[in-house]
Amino acid sequence: MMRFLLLSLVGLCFNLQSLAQCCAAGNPSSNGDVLGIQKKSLSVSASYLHSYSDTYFEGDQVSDWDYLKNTNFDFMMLSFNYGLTDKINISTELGYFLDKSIQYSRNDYIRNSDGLADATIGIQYHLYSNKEQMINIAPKLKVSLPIGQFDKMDGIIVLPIDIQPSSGNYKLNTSILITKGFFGSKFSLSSFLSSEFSQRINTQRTDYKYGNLYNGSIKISHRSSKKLISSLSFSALFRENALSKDILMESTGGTYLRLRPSISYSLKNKYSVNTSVGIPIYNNVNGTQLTNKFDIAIGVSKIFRIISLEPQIDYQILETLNDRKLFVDGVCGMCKERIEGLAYKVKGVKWADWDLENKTLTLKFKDVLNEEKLAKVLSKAGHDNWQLKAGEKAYQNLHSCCKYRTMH
Amino acid sequence: MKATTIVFALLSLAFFSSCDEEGTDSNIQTEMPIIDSLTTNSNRIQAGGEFPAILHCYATGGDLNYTWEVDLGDLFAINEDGSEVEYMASACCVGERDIKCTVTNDKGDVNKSIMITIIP
Repeated sequence: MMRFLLLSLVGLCFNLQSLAQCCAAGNPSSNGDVLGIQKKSLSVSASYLHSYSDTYFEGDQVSDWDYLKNTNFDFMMLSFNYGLTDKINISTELGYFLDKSIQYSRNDYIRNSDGLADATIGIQYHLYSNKEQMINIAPKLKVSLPIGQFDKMDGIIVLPIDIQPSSGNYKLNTSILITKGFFGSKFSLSSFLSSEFSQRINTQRTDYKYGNLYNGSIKISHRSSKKLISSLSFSALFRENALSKDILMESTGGTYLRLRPSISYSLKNKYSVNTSVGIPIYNNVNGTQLTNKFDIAIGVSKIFRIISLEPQIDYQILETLNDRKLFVDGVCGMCKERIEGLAYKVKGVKWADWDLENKTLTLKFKDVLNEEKLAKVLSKAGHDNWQLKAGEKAYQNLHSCCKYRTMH
Repeated sequence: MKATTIVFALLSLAFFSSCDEEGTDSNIQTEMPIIDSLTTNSNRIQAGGEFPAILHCYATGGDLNYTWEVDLGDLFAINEDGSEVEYMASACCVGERDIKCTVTNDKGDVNKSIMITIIP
């Protein structure tokens, strides 16, 4: 039987983008500026984004234009990320607008909609990974599919494309993520570059093409404790002008600079929560456009192991076995997987469970446990234990998130 | 037995009464809708919504329903049957915009478009 086993308390950072909502609202999507997960692990994440816009800009100056009082949306996203191999992750996202609304200044009328938004499918490849220098390079390709509604109505009026739940077109997003860890992975610096190319919407009603979007971000993260990671990212976004009936739309596109502080916290019950706030620090729009004032994102994620490491056990027999508790040092879910996996390789071990809190490996075994062999195997893999201290080389070979010595 | 007969008779009466009402509804004479004209008070409006265009769809056919759509900009129904709307647009919608009105009834549907130019 397939058994899902919780592996680690990894916080995923959602970085949902939201720019101005002016004839080109489109759909928010995750930046994808996180590295994928381990082979045969599944990360499931749910995130919520609230975005609010109420200030018109003309170029880089605030304008007194007041066609719309404000626009805002409440957006939910469900994401799945699966480690297909050690190097390849596949992902999918499904968006849903709980509310997407605009309020007009002239008559105070509020027009809104809700419903299924776009979906995405993506593939990330771990092109380069250097454990010693803690460098990772991972390009990603993502396709956005307009599966949601694009013909919602407000009474007898078909809603404008600004507030249709679906963006109504296919989009191709290419990106590359470069990360570098420092001081035993206490700090990390990542650079994220992406380009989004929009397909033309060509329906009976609409002939429109969103401007392509280019994004460059730098993010610095600090692991304050085993459970808390705080980050600050700086993004520069450039959106080209949109086209309507092959004519360039003057008041669309522009250059935007954003700051996004975020924190990720691993909970005791093995969930991870994260939150971030998008703060615009510079807008330079083409023509006159409504710009985003702020957005706030909250997410929760959990990682599951698709295939259980331990063999199927008869728990009645387990009760009759000998048991032993041994100290093994480690720091995260990945350590847990490794320590338990190595324990099962030792002859006679029928059940292994490593506890993250008290660093104790509990074993159930038949007859005699070869403790010496187990201690040796664990130290060779980089884990200090009740008998042996791991060599520096073995320790450095551990994944950056497993560097337990820097966490104490 | 007597009571059952009375209840049955009342139910039958209610049933046939409702059939009569439906029969009355179906007697509304409808024809395939025809749009006589789709008019506007202004073919050129300035972006910003200060002076919206007023559009009116004149149609015949009986028991008509109106639906309005435009690729960019905003429409608002301003009369009860939906035959009259206001149209305005923001600066991001500058250009020629086609506004389509579709008129439907139980005999079918017909549509007509009118172009309004949004100027900066």
